[in-house]
Amino acid sequence: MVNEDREFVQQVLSGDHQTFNKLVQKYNRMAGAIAYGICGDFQGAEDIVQEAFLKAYRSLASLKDPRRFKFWFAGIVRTRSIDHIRRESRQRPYWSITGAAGRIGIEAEATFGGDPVPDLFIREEFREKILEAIRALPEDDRLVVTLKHMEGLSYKEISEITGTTVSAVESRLFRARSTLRRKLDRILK
Amino acid sequence: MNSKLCDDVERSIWRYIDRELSARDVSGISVHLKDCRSCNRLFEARSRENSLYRLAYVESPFGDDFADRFREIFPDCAEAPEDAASDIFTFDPPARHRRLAVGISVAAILGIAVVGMLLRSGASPDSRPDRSNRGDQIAGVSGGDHFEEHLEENDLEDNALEDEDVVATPLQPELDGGSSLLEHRLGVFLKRSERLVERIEGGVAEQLAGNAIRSGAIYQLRAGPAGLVEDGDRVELALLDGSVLAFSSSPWRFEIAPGSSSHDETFEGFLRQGELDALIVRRSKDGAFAIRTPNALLRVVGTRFHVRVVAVGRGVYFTAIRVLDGEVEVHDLDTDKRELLGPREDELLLPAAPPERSPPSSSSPDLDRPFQIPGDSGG
Repeated sequence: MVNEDREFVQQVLSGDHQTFNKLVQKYNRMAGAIAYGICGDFQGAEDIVQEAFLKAYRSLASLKDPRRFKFWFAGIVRTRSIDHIRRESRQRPYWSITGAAGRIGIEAEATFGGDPVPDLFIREEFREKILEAIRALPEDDRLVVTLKHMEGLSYKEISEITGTTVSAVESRLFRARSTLRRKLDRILK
Repeated sequence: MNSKLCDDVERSIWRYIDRELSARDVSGISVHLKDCRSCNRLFEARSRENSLYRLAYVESPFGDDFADRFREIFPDCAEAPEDAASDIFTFDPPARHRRLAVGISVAAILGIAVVGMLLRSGASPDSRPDRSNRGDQIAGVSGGDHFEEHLEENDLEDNALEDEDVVATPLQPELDGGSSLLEHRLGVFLKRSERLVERIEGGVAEQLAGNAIRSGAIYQLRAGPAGLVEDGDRVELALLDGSVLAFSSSPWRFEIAPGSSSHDETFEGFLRQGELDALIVRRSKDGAFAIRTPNALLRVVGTRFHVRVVAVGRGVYFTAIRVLDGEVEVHDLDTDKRELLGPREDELLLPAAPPERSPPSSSSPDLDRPFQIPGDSGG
């Protein structure tokens, strides 16, 4: 896989520009998970990832080791995501629209999988509640949860992307899931 | 049961679910989970959490669609002048319509140069991005035809999927006018698997690029060396109610019955070939969850079970069922006998019906026979 990246990068640098689409195809999910994990907003994350790919393309010649494209690109996405949050925070208090941790309450009457019968609208609501609870996690926790559950990365891959150790990833995941379980108690039962 | 083992399982349960343990540890925990009810309950609860967290990201805009949109918005990004493209990064439009705004911004900055470039690319198909893998191709090109031939040939042989590489015609999943969007959101094939799962419609296999699955469609694991998932890396279908169907890494084919929906908790699926493990969320009184195989019907009300279908000849199968938790009513469609199965170590084998009693598969191959769950209610 890593060698494949090297080939893709070398092909792009040698003038086969369309090969860059293969990198877009391959890494947009991972980038999306990073961006969403940091900014907590799908629309914002999509913009960030688009910008990051353009930035990566333009800076591709500066990549010293093409085998490291994945992590180099992950760094670009991360930087762009943080910039995005800063920009947003200058315009409005970003998290006010998603709620602070204490405001996340599960008020749905129905219980999941039990009586009374939950319909799809309630389930959609549950899904939104879960996303709200994820958004309300501290940034580092939210990032590992998103990389794990949105992209399905291993602890090692997450640690390489976030620049931490595998055990730190595991701890954060454990803590984040415990927090989510407490907040989503009524849904998860 | 064994407190030390239970402690170990409790400590390792997330690593077990996240597949971060060694094969030996996985095996040890799996054995313990079969024996220990409390650990099994913990495992089920954490598994449900896990699938719900994953489902939370169903609306993610990333994946094949993103790559397509990226190519559409920036068809010539690779050739964009450096200083013009750099302006994109300081552009800060309102959150809504930002993607469009970025495109407009680029066009404005590049001005006549961009128009010229677009005109050039319009006049010269070779200069356009290679869209051979795009998801919006029309059905009927060689990939689809190839697959249709493959299906017919295959069905006439022994109804078994071949281990040959199948090149499917990728189509964009589209919502037909007759069904609501909600009906299509039954669940999702989980990440890393959706590209391997194909939907078959009208004899044409369609690579599943979107998240939503629809009722009345047949899905299968992409056959062939290029598509097979690694051994042990199974494909999971996570339903919106939290139920999970985990398919084996070997070829399988599964049809979701027309009319299945999450809305009224009725879900019926036809495992035409292959094997799956099911973790079913408890259904309401009127809800139904049924898995049909060519010669058996399993009705469940919140349980875990494993079922596999083995083709032993043309239109002849046997079905093996093992219940891990809860109860499953097994209806032998050949003998019309019903049996209520509880948890058991061994598999219940429903042998293949003799050819003369088997369903009319000779004229209508089972794999493509219209899906129908017998209407009689059994539980």
